[in-house]
Amino acid sequence: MALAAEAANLGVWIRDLVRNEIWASDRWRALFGFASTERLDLEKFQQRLHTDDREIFRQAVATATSGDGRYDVEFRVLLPDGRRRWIASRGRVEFNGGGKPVRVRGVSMDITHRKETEESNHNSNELMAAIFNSVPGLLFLYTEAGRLIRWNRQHEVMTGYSAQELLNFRAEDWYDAEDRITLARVFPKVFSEGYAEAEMKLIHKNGEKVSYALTGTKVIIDGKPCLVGIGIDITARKQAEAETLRQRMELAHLSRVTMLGELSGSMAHELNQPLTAILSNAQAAIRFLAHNNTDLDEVRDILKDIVEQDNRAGEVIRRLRLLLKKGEVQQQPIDVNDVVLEVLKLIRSDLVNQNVIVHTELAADLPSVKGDRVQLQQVLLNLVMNACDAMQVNAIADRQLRVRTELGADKNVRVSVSDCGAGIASDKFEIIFEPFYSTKPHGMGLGLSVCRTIISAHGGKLWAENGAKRGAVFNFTIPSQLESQS
Amino acid sequence: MNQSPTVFIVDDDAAVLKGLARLLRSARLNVMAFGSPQEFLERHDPHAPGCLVLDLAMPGLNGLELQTALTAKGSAIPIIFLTGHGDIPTSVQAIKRGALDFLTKPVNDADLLKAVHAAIEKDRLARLARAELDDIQTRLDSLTRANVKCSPMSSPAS
Repeated sequence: MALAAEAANLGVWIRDLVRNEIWASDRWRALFGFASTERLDLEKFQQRLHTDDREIFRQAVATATSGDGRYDVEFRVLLPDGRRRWIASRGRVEFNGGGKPVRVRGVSMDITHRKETEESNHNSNELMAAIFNSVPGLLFLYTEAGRLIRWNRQHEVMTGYSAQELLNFRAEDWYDAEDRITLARVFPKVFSEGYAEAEMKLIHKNGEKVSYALTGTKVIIDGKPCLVGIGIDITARKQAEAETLRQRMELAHLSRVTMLGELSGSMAHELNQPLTAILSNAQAAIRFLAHNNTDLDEVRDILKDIVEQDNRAGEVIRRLRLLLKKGEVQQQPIDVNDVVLEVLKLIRSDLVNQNVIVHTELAADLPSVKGDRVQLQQVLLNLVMNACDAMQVNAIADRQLRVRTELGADKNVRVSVSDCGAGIASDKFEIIFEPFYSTKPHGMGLGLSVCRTIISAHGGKLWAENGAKRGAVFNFTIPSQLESQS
Repeated sequence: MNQSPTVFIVDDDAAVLKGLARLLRSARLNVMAFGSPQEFLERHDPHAPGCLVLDLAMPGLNGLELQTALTAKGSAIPIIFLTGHGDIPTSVQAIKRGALDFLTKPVNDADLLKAVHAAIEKDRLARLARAELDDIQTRLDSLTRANVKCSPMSSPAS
């Protein structure tokens, strides 16, 4: 029996309750850190026990001796060299004829390894639960079939459903028809590719739709593929984004209106021309009709011209209204050359008044870009007006403006506006794009900064440099639609 | 000398030019239209009677510059300026240099015709005055020449 015990790494012991003596095998002595010759008793044994576990031991002995005689206890011991060990002891109490306990026989074994594993499992379970509940968002676990099987506390708080209600939830239950289409795309992706993410609106128990950024990662639990993921409420971010967009539009509009204020003389002139033609033609017709043998062909021609000039005036108004409009940013394919020509039409009389000669070099077959027509007009208008201002001090023959469009090797459409002005000081190339920087006495200093915001929003760049000989050159690029197709 | 007067119009806007020309023709006036100041300057005969209706804002040579060029060329043709916006400093400048009238676009037929007729009349009187002056000058010249013939020894001091 003792041999078998030794082989199983068990220490064997007998405790004589009457004489307070303990006999123990060498293996047992080694477990508790006693020398093989040392005489053992209860006190010596108890010294080895962890102070917190002495009561457990006492109770186990009391239970065994007063009950059915089964002794079964686990406790920690402290060895003289400082090591700690978990020990499990099992034994049986022997009673004398009078029913008085006289002896306990038993075995002990080292269970340190098992205990530590249990402890760390316990710890990691606790850790898991703590992580689950400390995530400031939704944490969830779904089966591949789409059933919700585990979630955190926040999930209940943020969606308004109790644990009981969530038990029967399926992934699609959270979404409206539109988001279910997205779900049908991303949910299987988690299982096929291991990970997927999406922005969707979860419907709160109160019916409110809340924007979430959701992620899902595939995990194998008990041999079955599952989806574990988190959901972060992005309502605030969405609102901030919308607010930024709104402010940008407001600013662009403000800057546009300011610019049009400067242009109003020019606009009035553009309207005056067709109105003058219409009035003269109409009054001429009245006179011709008063003549004897009226030339009706002439009158017909006059009426045709009046219609034409009326359309011309209408076109001016339409362009003006478009620029003044405060509306949603429209994303549409745009021919940049068209934008250049329209802007030059808008500002034509201003250019004439300032004796500025415009040269255009517009690339043929320029691919379209995606963007907002009005905003791009605004940028060009601003650059052209700045160029004119820069040349105000030049002699009249020396006021040349060049507008150039081309397709870059990088498939970006590039527009350059060059003037013959004084150019830009080398330390000012960036400062001029800062808000409220202006060289004009009444300038708000918003023009270029708004232009840069607009071009950035189109995925492009706007920068200034000096011309090869003189003057300033403002360039901007916008990705062409060629690029997005490739 | 009995050439009938012509209204010359210069405007770079083809539609406006055509409309104004028509209006003046409907009032039975002789009209010649020019699309640019340069064109007018090259083809203008200072002896032709009439007046000039001139757009102020044009690319290249503007109305004021054309006025200066005409004066330099010895032309005294009366000018009626047309402008899109009643820019006061420019109108003052034009009037000071002898512009006859300054009308704002769109111009009413009554105003334009009144100004044109006044200009033609002014041109007629100016030409008449110049002709008389020329006549007097001619006679003076012949007198002087006769005088020189009678008394070759005389000097201005005597």
